[in-house]
Amino acid sequence: MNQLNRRNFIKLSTLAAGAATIMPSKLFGAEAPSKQITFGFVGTGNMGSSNIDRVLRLKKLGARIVAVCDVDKFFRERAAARIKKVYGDTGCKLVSGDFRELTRNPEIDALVVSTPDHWHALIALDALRHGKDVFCEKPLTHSIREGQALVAALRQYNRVGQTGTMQRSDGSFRYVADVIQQGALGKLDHIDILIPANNKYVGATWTPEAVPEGLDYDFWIGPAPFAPYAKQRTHYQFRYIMDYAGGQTTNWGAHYIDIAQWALSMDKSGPVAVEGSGEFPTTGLFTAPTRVDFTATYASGVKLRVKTRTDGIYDGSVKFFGEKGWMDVSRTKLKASDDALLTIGGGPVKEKSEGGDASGLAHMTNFIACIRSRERCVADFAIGHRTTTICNLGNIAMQLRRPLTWDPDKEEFLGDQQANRMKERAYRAPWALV
Amino acid sequence: MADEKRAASDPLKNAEPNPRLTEFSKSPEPWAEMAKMEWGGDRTHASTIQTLIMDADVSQYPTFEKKLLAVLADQQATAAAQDFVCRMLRLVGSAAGVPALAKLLADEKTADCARYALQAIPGAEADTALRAALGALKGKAKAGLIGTLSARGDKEALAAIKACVPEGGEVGDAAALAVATLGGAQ
Repeated sequence: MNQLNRRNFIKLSTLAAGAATIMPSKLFGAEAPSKQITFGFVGTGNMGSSNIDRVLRLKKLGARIVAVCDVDKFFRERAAARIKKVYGDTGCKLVSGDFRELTRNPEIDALVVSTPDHWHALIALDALRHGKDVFCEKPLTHSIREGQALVAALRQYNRVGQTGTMQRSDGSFRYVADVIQQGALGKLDHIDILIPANNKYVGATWTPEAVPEGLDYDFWIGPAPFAPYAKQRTHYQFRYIMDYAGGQTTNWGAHYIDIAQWALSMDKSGPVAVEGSGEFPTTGLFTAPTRVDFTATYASGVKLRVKTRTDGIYDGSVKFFGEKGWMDVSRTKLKASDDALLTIGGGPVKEKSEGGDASGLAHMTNFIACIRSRERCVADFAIGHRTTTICNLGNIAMQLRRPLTWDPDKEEFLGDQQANRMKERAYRAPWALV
Repeated sequence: MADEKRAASDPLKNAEPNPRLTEFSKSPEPWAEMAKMEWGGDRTHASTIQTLIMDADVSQYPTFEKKLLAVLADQQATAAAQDFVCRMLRLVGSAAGVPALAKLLADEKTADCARYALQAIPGAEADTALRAALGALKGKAKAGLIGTLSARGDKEALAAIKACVPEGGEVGDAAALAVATLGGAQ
């Protein structure tokens, strides 16, 4: 632990005074101490709840949840009660509204971040700086600058980081990426990605409301610009407000652009140009695009087009077009221009799981395996950062409505002041990135 | 047609203005309306301005910056308008806008808003204004300011930031992190 870390932990120890002490994992009994990995969860709502379920189901791998944090008391207490019920004991001893009580607690090995997007980077960074391995939901970060900082910290502190893009752990997606990488479609020409339309709506104006009891709203806003509370600002629907997320561009784009990047073997790079013409609400609480349409062009000439689908299906899809045919994959389908493309090497090997969520479980399993092996995860933060960057490039291009040139090595736009200034945001005090 | 554009031979030249026609030609002025915007209210006029600014040619940025600064100088401008203006200055602001933003930065109630713009404005003027505010701000606002200096990679601020570490609390934490980032010895 360096001096900074020691300092912060001393401060945190004061902060945590009075909170229940987490017992060292070896005292929990059932598993051998060397095999137990203690988990803390920050954000216990929507995806946090799914991730808790995954880790609870992976008890046999030595995963043990010992702490939960949520700025909403209702959610954190509900999560703690659920965990205690499953473990059948008084586990999960730390139930907190301040993530720093988890990130700076030496008894926690790994942190799962499932908060709204505007908090991802700051919480994950604090965890990395204090020696935690981190599973962070997608989109990995809210800005390009945050992604760069997160990848740098991951390497600097030699930690394991998994992005929550669990399609990387799904047999169908893995199969498509593999066979395209091996040339099954020949030279690729273009890729079409469909993402769902928004599934929540608001009117042209909104009324500031009283903050509900139990929600620490100031902490919820955190690094984002201040705005008065409104119900539709927080749980789930935060994703349609650009101060906290990037709309469906980043919500679903993070999954399906990720598969395109994988198949293109571009995990360490990205496109060289982007342009778009989306539609954004001109009034009302929501500010994220209601219609997404942008195209990113790679140096190879491959064009990746991302569009909002209009058929009401709440899933995405990615369709690859090459000189030898096409392949189209989503969570519910795998099609190709020729059936022979679907059976290469015996076809996809799908994960199996009693109780469902096979790819989600496989993704968390990979994280746990990498915590033990110290190898990089299948969706290492560097991979998640490059995918999230394309989502952000798309949103920036759609807002600026002009073609932009991107240098994927320097990670900067060429000759566009506004676009470059949109790569990062200043934070509301007292929060800081670096 | 405006009266002054009518030919001398036009019978309507110098005719009494028809109230019906003058009413038709009235239109809200987006900049004035934006200055009155409130949280939760219609933000259509602000969106109009945002589109103009995002579509603008670089040569037009100084003109837009001047108009944005005029709203900042308007004592009647709402907090929501100030917030919007600073977000736009983040995109097109320059050294010319620094003095006005520095005034906002010195007040803890508006310091965050000022930093949304100042963090993105390159150059010595912004650096100087940000460093100067270290002596004026306290508590959370000062911690946020240190974060901005660090994000800008301002190594000339390192000594002043180091001096903040012993303050402890949020300021001390932010300063320690910034010192580590800016390359100071830990």
